[in-house]
Amino acid sequence: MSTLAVASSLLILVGLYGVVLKRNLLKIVIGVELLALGVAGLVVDAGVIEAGVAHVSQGVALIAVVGGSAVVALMTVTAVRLYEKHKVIDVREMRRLKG
Amino acid sequence: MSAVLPALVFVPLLTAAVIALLARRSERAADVMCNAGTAITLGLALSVAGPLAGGERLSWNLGGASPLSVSLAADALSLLMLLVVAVGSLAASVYSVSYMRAYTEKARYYVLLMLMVTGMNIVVLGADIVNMYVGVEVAALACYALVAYGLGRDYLEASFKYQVLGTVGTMCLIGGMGLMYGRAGTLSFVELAEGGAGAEAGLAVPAALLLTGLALKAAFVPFHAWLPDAHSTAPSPVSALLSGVFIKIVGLYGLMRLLFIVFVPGGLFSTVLLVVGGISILAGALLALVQSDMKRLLAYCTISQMGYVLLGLAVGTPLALVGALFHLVNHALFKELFFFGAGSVERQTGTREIGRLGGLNSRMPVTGVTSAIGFFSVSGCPPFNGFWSKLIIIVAAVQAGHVGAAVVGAIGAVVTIGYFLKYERGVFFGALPQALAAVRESPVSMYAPMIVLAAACIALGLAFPWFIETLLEPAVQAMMLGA
Repeated sequence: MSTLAVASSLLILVGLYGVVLKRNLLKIVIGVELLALGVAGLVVDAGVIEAGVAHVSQGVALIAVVGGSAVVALMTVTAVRLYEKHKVIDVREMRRLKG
Repeated sequence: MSAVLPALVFVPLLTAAVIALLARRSERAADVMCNAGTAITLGLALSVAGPLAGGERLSWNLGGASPLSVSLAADALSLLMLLVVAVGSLAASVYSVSYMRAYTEKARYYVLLMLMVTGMNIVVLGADIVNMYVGVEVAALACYALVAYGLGRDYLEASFKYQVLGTVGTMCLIGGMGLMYGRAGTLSFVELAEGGAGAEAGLAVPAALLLTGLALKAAFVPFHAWLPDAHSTAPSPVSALLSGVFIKIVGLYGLMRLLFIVFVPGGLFSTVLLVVGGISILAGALLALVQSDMKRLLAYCTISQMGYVLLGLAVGTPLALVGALFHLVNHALFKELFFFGAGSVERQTGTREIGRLGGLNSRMPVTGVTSAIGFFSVSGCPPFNGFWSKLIIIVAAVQAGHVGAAVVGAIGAVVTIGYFLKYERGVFFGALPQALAAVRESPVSMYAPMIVLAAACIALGLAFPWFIETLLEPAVQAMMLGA
């Protein structure tokens, strides 16, 4: 395992921790962002080691980072709006959160 | 002819831009532009229908041979999906003209709607996984915003939940994609298919990631938690597009393209698909049975019906694939019809609680009759379209030796009749509550799409041999490229 793979895996784990276990909406958003960065790192790593061609994977990772940022921006807006208008900041307060 | 492919992406994109720039002040102008945009998209899709259904393959490329170039390709499977997107979005845009008056900023709504159509067309036309991913992301972003469109607490909560789960799904897709490139050295569907399915063993981890991503996007049980919220809270034309078109394009279409490459029938992954499909059918149907909200019931029904499509794909024989594609088209038609009907009822009566409605057949005859046609179709009454597709899937499952799957399909069909009887009886039959005595039929622009969709349900039911021969069989051949 390269250093990049280890670092990316750590980022993914921290991100998943944020998404799954945190209650605060903004912390969940931060978790998603970390997850996106970790996945991008992993993609670059996979390309470097096994195919011997880095630029394609780097390109894919770049697209992933851009896509991830766009989603995170929208998520932040949604979370801020939920807090400002409806005073919801904790996922447990979400009335509709039922399977 | 190949120039039509970029046009299919740029027409909705430009329509979105034009509406954003020019129609902010005038709702009427935005109505006209959005409907013109979706109509032109449908026209473009029809213009390539002949050659594509004949087995021809069109492709268009910008940026040379690099795997990161923008390369679009279309075959008979893409054609079928293009038609589903175009018909579905045209119906939704016509319906929106009256329905969306209840919301503010209609022009922005149309911009998001056209961006969603753009994204879905990119998914369908993308010649490799990267292009497909870009389309998924564009469509998903527009879709998150559309779910939150009402800005009430429910809208924002549903959208936030959808955004988190949708993004985790996207991350799985990207991760799977990156690892797959590492192993296979290519991301193009054609090259992957030509590389043969023998690589399956080495592709186990990427395949698992891709499957999780697609399952989150297509809301298979147990990844369905976001769907009932998102699909029931969104404005009705958006619900119709989400349930009828969107989840098929971003979830199932990717699965179809990769079916014979990584999820080869007969292998481990196809068994997983079979089990997930069966569980989706039963869990979706049983959960629908206990719902009291019209749109929530329809949302759970979507999970169940998607299970049938997945079951057909997992069985993987040509007959089963025909059944799966046919059921996908049928579900697009009757689910849009149902969501339009539910939207009309909600708009005219102010509620979508089944317990507070009843006897609306006398007050809203068009909505009542079209909804009854949808009921016959979804519950599989001959000669409606839903009967043939479910029958084909069940027969194909028995033929392939998956008797258990066929039994699950048959039980699901019975439960479907059960919850839709509750829906029809609670909303359109029985006694009319005093409070609803003054309810009137919805405006023409809302019931016209319902009539067209209901007519399509009957027409496909009667002309199914023709439909299977001209559109579905070429599509199945295109899907089985790598087999």
